[in-house]
Amino acid sequence: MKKHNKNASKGRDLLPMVLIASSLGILVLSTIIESSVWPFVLGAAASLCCVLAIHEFGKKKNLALQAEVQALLSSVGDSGKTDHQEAELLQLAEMWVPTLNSQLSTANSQMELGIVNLAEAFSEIHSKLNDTVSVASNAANVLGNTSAGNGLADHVAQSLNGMLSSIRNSFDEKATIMQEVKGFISSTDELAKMAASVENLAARTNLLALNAAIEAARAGEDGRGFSIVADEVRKFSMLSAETGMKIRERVQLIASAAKKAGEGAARMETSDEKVLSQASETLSGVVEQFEQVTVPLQQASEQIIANTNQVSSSLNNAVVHFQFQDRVSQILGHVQESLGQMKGQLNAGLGALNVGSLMHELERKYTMAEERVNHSGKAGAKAVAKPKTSNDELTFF
Amino acid sequence: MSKTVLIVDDSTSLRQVVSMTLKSQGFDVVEGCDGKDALTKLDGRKISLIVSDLNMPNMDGLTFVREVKKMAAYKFVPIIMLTTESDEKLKSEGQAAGLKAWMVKPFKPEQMIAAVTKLVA
Repeated sequence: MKKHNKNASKGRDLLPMVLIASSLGILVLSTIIESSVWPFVLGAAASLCCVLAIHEFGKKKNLALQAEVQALLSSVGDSGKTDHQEAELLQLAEMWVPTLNSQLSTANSQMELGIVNLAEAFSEIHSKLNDTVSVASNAANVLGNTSAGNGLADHVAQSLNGMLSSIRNSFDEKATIMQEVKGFISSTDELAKMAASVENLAARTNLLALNAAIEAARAGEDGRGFSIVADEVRKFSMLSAETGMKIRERVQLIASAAKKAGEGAARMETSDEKVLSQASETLSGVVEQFEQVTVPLQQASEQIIANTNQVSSSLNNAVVHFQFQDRVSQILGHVQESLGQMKGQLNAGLGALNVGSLMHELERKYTMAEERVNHSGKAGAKAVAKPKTSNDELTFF
Repeated sequence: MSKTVLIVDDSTSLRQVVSMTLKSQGFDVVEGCDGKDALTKLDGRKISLIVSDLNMPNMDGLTFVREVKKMAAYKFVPIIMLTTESDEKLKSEGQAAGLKAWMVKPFKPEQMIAAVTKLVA
């Protein structure tokens, strides 16, 4: 279109020149051809050519002015467009970037707050689970290890058996004493016999003393002294007989009491055996019933401990997954900083925009492999948080 | 008597996670939100180990480690750097600063417990 206009313009430029040249030629011819009508005709033709030439000059000037005006108008239009773009960029820097930054900041802080609250809640649950494990462990320890056979029921059985054993020992001691009493009873029989012998000896001594007194009386005066001795012997024998009789009575009383005690002891011995047997049976029953309660309780405690430990471990691992927030927060932070940098550049005008600098600064702040993968842009790279190899995770110096 | 670990990280949630992991093993914990804040926690109390982040505001992890190594009372306290960074050059800088271990986030609880137990033994 522009080329076409240029050619037309050239044509317009030549026409007045040709017309002027033509009018000059006509005037020259009119000078040569004198004294005829032709000079008038030719002069008129020359004048017409000049008029046409002037018209063409004016037309050309007009077109040139129009072109200038068009160019000016176009220039004015371009200038308006640039101003509009700059205004848009300023708005981008002053409104869009800060808005995005605010949104990122809010999202980041809300995520952090949420994760903190979740972690606190999980931590509390974890703590309570640990308390539960502690309580269950204590209960299990009290109830004892059923498989090892040293549970509470066994302790109770041992204690009761110990008590039963003490009672049995006590009964055995009592039986020994009863044996002593029986021995004593047999001794009282002997004592009674001895007392009877004493009585018998006293009676015979008395009879002997009586005979001696008779013989002393028969001897007359010579037997007087002997008669006195015989009387004294008789008195002693009578006293001995009384003492023997008292001993026998006392011994009989004692023997009677001892016999009753022996009979009572024998009855008690039978009763004690029966009591011990019943106590032993009762004890076995109680221990068995106790075990029926404690063994399931102990097994339940062990199950609670195992389950709680498992839940606690799972919870611990789950909480550790909250670490994603730290990584996301860092990525968002780097994006925010870069947006801020871009805003600063835009504030200084479009000419200050330096994408290379933005990219360099962004890369400099990366802390994670994923960010660097994303930055590389290789094959539309979009990094995901991949599990690291174990060698990368921990290094000791 | 339980041992105390100082946890330094600008992420509250991360501090909580480390704290929970160590508390479950009977450790007491003290927390600092950056290197500068953590230095104020080294006020004479007995610290058995420090777990610090690398990239933090106010004072970064490496600067913090160098500051700790200047303190007579704490220069022998073992320090673990816990960070998302796994760059070998940074690890070398950490080693030169006096770090005992470099652990990359996200960490596994059993790994953290093993490292801490080994270094406080």
